[in-house]
Amino acid sequence: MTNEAGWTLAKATATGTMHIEAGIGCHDSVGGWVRSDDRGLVDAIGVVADGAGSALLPELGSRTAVAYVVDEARKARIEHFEGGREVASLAEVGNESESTSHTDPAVELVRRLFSGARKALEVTADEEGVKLRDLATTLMVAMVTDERFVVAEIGDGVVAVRSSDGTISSMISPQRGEFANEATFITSGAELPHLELASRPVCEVNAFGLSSDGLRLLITSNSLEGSPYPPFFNDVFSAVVSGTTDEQIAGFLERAADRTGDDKSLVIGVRRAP
Amino acid sequence: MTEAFSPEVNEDNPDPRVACVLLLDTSDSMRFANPGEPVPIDELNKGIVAFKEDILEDPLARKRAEIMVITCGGDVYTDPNFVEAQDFQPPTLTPQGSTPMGRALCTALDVIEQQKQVYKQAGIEYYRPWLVVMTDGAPTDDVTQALSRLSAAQAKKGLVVFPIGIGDAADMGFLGQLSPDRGAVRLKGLTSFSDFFKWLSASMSAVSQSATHGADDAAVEQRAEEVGQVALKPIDGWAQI
Repeated sequence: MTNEAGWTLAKATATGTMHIEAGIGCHDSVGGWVRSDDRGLVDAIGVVADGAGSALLPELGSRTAVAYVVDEARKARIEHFEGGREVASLAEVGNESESTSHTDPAVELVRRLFSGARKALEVTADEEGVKLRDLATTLMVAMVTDERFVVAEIGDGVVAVRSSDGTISSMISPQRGEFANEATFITSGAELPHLELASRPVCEVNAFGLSSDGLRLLITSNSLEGSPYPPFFNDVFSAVVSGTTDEQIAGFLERAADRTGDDKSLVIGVRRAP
Repeated sequence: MTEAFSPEVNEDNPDPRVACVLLLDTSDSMRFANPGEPVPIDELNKGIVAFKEDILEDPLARKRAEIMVITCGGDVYTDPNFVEAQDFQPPTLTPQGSTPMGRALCTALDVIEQQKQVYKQAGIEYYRPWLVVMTDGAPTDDVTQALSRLSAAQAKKGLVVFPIGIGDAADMGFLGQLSPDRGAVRLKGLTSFSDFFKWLSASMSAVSQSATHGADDAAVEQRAEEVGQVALKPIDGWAQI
């Protein structure tokens, strides 16, 4: 899908070979859209969620989180946020500190999407008669407004952001807890864990990619650091702009010899050159 | 027909590794055979050769498994480095002296921790490391610190421990303390070394094919929960159940 602001979005997912063999279905969910009218704060959004294999209902967890984010982002209007379009001077490339109050509506919206997604899972858990941890999932969001690009994650997926100078970086670090299950799901702990988030002026960004960890050995330069492998992402960005379909990307995911056996997902956003 | 989409992927991300320490009793008693029975150290040496020959058949495990031998006989001797299984040279072990198992176990824990740091610095993911402990007797030094460190390391899921007794004089009580969750087993007989080492090679194959590797202990544990613990072959071929 493509919109007037010039963004094209593609999304695809494939069940991991290990999941197929075990008969357990795909735990990844993907979502996103580009805005086709001129109402609303958000021009484009991409979302990936990876349900925890150890949870009771991982598909429901990841699907619910993705559905919440894509629906709520559509409804967001600039007047919902304090400070209107004021952008604080801290808005440079780099991670935001949670304790810094930030008037940037795009960043504030992303924070609300994460905490709202967790609440949506609490409601779903109640409805299903299960515990919150039974819906454990990671969550990654990349969002474009007419002023800002924001990327945020709780979990260990791969992020790639291409700047106007052509360099590709992840802008945020994958979370490495010291102890098992430390803050790697939006459902972990008594409240929403620390959010890895970074934002920059939207004119500096011309493409983004989100992936769950199943593809990491193929699409990172160093799988520990999570640094994106530029040739892969440049190929994918070009392909999406020139019309490669979601189905063709899904075909690649199914064929990819990922060496992890895990579910594979890609959400790609590219701004067409004017 | 549309052309298949084939973006360039990174072929060079390194193979994940499983570090395997073989902590082997080479104390004096390993030279003594009952009449009509083989000499334990000879069978152990042959078993290690069988391990190497077997693992060479598996193209994945021969690269992903990394082996270090620590011998416990008189003193504690350690290989200088972990070595990929395909390059591992089976040693010819000779028995001597007492059984400083406490010190050998602490050394094993040290080298495993160091190897994890080596992996992290090299950007290599790893599987949960293995520690195989084989003894035909009882420790002759203080094991308090070793037991406490082993217990803490296993509680954090930092490694898996396989304690194995050789012959009737093996101290199964001590061995059982090395891995309370799993327990210790005795080799069926001195002729079971080769069967054990072939089982070990098959286990390394199973690990190497699994997706239970990660950037650190927490990631390894999470992946093991995702895809299930690695399924190992039954041990009744070589273990006295």
